[in-house]
Amino acid sequence: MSSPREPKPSKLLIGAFMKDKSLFQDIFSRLVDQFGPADMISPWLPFDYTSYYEPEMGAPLYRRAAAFKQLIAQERLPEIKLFTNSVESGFTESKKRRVNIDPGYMTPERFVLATGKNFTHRIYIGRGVYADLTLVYQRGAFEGLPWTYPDYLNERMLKFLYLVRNKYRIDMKGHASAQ
Amino acid sequence: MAFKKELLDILVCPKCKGPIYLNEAEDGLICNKCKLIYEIKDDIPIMLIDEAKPVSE
Repeated sequence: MSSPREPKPSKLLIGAFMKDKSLFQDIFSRLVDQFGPADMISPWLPFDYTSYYEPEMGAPLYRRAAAFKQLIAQERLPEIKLFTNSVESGFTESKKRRVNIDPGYMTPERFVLATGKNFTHRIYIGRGVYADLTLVYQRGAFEGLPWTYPDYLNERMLKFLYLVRNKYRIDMKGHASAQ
Repeated sequence: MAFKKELLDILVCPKCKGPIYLNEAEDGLICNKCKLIYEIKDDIPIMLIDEAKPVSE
């Protein structure tokens, strides 16, 4: 019999894409006010894998990701998704979103994104939010799954996430010794 | 060594979000605009504004 155990805290990662890069600083300030300082921020990466968002958000779109220093309990993901949705709403113009924000968390084994959209492989985690298992860490690297969005398989994004994972593992050692 | 240079391709300065450069000793990432150096410890850069040090002139 397996005994239920509290999971380890996870690393909060928030990605955002937008057409107008100048919005980022304002969006980022709101995230920092809520979650504390980021300890790694990616450069702008092209978000050109789909035209799905173009009618609403325009083109070209750019993605950036930030990892936050303060570790989070994994069960906070729905609450965090609702918060980032409220930030998105604050940047809506003429009922069109100008930014799309994707919160997620990383553990040593996986990277999970929050989404409001149900699908076959997504697990309901409460408050109208589903968890999307986006990447798994195997054989020394993050690997995608059949449903992984291609922007999370971008080489620079994977290198960024690998670096974040290394930082997270160091954070975890500090967390364990503080317990 | 190559790994440290790769950092320049996947990170930006947390303050100005601009580019960073590897210092000569390859133990820190410098933002010229903010004149800050972010230390690299055990191959992990410490990209926190509060822990960055001013670049000495």
